[in-house]
Amino acid sequence: MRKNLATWFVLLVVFTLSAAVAANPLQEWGAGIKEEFGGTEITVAMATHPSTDGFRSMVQEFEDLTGITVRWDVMEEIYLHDKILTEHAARTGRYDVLMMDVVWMGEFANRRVVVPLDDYLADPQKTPAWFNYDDIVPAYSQGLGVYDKKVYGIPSAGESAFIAYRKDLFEKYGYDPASIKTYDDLLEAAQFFHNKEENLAGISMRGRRGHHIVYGWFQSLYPFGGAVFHPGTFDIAVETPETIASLQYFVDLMKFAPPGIENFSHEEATTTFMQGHAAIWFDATALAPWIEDQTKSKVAGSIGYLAPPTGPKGSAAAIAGWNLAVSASSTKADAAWAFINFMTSELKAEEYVKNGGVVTRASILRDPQFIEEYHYYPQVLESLDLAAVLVDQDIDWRPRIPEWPRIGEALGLNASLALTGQVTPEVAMERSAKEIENIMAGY
Amino acid sequence: MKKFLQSPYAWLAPALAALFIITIVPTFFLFFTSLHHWELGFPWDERVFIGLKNFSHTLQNPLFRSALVRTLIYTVSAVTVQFILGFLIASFLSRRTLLWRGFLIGSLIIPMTVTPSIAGLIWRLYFNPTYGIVNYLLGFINLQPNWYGYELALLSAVIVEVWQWTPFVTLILLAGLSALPRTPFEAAMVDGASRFQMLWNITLPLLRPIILIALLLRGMDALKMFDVIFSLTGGGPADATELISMLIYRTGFYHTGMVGRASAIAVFLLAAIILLSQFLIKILDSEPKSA
Repeated sequence: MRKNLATWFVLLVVFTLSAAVAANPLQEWGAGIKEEFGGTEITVAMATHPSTDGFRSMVQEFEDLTGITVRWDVMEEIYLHDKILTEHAARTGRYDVLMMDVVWMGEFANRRVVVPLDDYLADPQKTPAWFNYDDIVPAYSQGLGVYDKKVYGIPSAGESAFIAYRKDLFEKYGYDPASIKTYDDLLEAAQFFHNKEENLAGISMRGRRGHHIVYGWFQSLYPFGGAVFHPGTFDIAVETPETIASLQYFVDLMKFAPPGIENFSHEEATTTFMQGHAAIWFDATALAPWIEDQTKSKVAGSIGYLAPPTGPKGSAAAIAGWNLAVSASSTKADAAWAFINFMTSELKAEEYVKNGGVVTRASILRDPQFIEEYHYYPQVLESLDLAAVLVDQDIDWRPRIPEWPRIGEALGLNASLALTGQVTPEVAMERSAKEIENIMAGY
Repeated sequence: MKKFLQSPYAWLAPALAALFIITIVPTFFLFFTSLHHWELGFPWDERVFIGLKNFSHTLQNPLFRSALVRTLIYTVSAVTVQFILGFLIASFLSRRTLLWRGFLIGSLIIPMTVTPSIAGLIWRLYFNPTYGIVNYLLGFINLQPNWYGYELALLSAVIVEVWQWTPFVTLILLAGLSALPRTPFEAAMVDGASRFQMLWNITLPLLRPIILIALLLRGMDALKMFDVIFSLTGGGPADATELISMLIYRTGFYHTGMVGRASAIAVFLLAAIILLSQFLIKILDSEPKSA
């Protein structure tokens, strides 16, 4: 009996050893990091977001591999922005890794809140092959993470926008979803379904004052030929007939929205659709999992998806998302980079997405297994192709300049005045132009 | 030393020091920043002294003026309704023979214990025009108002404020009512005074200081109301619920970061609150006309 036990023990040891030798590259990398940074503690500042949950589910493995301890500071998006800047102003060095919304990019890069990562990416010692930067969807790596030709962030959650529609309703009334090709078609469809049944609106989008309404309205901005600045310059373009037309279109479209659209963030916009109170929904691709969630969504399973339609001046789609970045005041930048490496790598992408993370990698979006589970992935890729149209022209869907948050506020207030009928879109854009001029002048 | 310890100043010193650190210093800091151009995220050293420019900008800002008017509408309407409702409920509860009196008074505490920002979020769900409970109930009388709309948004904020703080006014008035002497009422009854005459000529004058304190506390709070508005409407739609406090927040932090300019607006708000409280305290101190 005792001999038997010893044999088992030897076998176990041999087995473990051989497993370690056959080691996956992850363990090898982890051992190296452990030697250098084992025992370090890093603090990450993140927003309450599905991707944060994804990271947290993988952190145990990271800590075991590298011996780095991770402290989490997770808060609402708007608090996060102010908190990061306050900590930065006080130079506390409290944070090592920052989760950064793409719209903060210009602000953070210019104020040197975050550091460029190009040197890290170029150094094979610091960036292992399994990280594979090139696998990140180009619209994301260029459109989210790069500013002023330097990489400041690794896209950790990316989204475009697309349309979801109620297959059951479209079938019931014999409406062909494929007929929605242009923005006019979309308006027509919204009008068709509006009040067709009790408590049913045509289309649900976000209209809450501030950046929400800007998000809703901007869906039609570029397809109508509008812009914030004339491409390649800082000449204000919000007073052009095209920009005004796009806002007018949004205001018209929202006549077929559920009551209360003036106060809808993405939450209400999506919940209203999930409760079956709207026939069409046009918002972020990252929210599709909510709609498909059987436990929360009454309409799950009967939803079809469409890429954004074409406008008079062509197609373009939204791009938005989050980056992981290294804080400039961090004293543990290398350990922070190791964290980002692990969390956003191609190797861990599958696990990350399965744990609720938001996909940024082409390999996952094209994976047949994933497409079977998330049947809207092809439309996401289609939307991303449309987003790439802008990225290729070097146009930011939302200008990533330091002044953007202020400009967005000004546009958000004036667009909301137009949506609520307080002023016409012309007046709203006239006022916006003046305010943007002041903002760009620095005061 | 012994003499010093016997003087009143020694005993006041800790309290004064605490007061100094937590209120006086920040207030002076507020004045100081209001004279500078300083943006959130930049080092403190990069501030620029610009004199009174922030103040002149504020006075010229049409958003400031409309926010000021809106704040006054909000404060006056909320506090008036709170006072009237609070007085009615307090009179009702002051009847000692009332059944379940203790339970009713206890349950008044509930709205006050809800964190205001959470109250705002809860009511945002209640007010949802499509699936909120308010419109569900109003549906029985065939009303479907759009609480998120431009016209009703400010009213919805007033309703939340009234819901949350009427109990506070009630409790203060209730305490005042139960402390009233009975003799004047008995004398009035003997003289054959009507109930309204008793209310107008005895109850209200005797309650005067209590009423003023309730109005003072609620008025000051309503003037700087922020949390409920922030989570209920975020100041929107458009500028429908943009009160001064929201304007300060938007200017100083949220996506704008003009800390100096926001400080200037905050100085104006501070001045308004001090004026209001001084006004009410003056009335409080002065002798009532007939006693």
